[in-house]
Amino acid sequence: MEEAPGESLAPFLFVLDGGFITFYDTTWNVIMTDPTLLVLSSLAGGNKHGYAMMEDIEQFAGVRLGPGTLYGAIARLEKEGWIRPVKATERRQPYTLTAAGRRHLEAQLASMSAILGTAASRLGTV
Amino acid sequence: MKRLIRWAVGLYPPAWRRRYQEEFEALLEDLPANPQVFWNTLAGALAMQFLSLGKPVAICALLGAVLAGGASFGFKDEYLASAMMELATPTGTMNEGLRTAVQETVSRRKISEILQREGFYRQKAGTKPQEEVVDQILRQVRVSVKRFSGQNYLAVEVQNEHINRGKGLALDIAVSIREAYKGEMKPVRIYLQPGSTDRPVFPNRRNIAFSGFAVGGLAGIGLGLMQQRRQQLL
Repeated sequence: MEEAPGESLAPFLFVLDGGFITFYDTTWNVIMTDPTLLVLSSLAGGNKHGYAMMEDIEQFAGVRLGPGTLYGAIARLEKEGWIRPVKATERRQPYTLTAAGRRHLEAQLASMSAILGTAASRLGTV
Repeated sequence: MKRLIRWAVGLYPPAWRRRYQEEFEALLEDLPANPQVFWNTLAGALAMQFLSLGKPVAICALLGAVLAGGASFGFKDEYLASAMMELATPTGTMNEGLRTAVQETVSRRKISEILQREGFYRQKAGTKPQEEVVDQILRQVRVSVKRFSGQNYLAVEVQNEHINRGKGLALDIAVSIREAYKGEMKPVRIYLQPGSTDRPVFPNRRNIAFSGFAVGGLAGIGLGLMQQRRQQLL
């Protein structure tokens, strides 16, 4: 049976690297860097609290963020002014993407698209 | 497991807890209390502590290294001179006769004689009494049996501020030991240990600066934690 991508991730295998947390799978291959991008992508689809973000990210990226990792990213994004809390009706605190956060996400996506486009054309897949 | 996770939450920096603890605990209520959640919470707490304390720790460590490195220039450089004598003894330890000869030579009386003979004391006249100079030299002298390439040697090492004075003392002490020793011993040969002719063996400024870095870093952690504690009490 083929293992789902999210299941191969040991959530505690991450390394603090220059203020960023890099994720590794169980064989120490880098899965992705900077979970903040995942959080921004999740909030681009609408306001969400922590648990909803975890579920959403698992669905679209196949990665299950741990609570420590998620709130590390939330704290950093809020400090940068890219997300902000919105009025909560319960203990769960929802967050929203700010205008600066949207611009940052767009810039990141443009940069990634350029890299992916170059890689794809060099591999002859497009 | 829930208790462990709660403990890990308590390890987050106070400022972080004031801002996020309530909503973080609400998130944990939605998650299963398993080892993965515990480890991730613990790792997150350690990462946050490092980020919150990282700057003061780095500043204190650098300050410690600079201060310790600077203070090391307050010490005078000392060089190591070695006089080596080939020994006929097959074992790597001193026999009774050799030990007696060393004790007779590395003594206040004999060192005073060497100082007078070589004129080393005159150079110190007016600064320190002779007894003090003799005691200082006794602290600078080390005599031991060393083995190189299957041959035993009696090594007389003197760590002194002046290269030539150290060489002279090492030679004189070695010759005196040879005179006092009745057993078989080949003629004295003198050479300096590799690398010690132009480089001082004390102070080791790199080690001192590193020690200052480590002590400064620890002080930074202590200060950071004290500041956190004070903020908690306020």
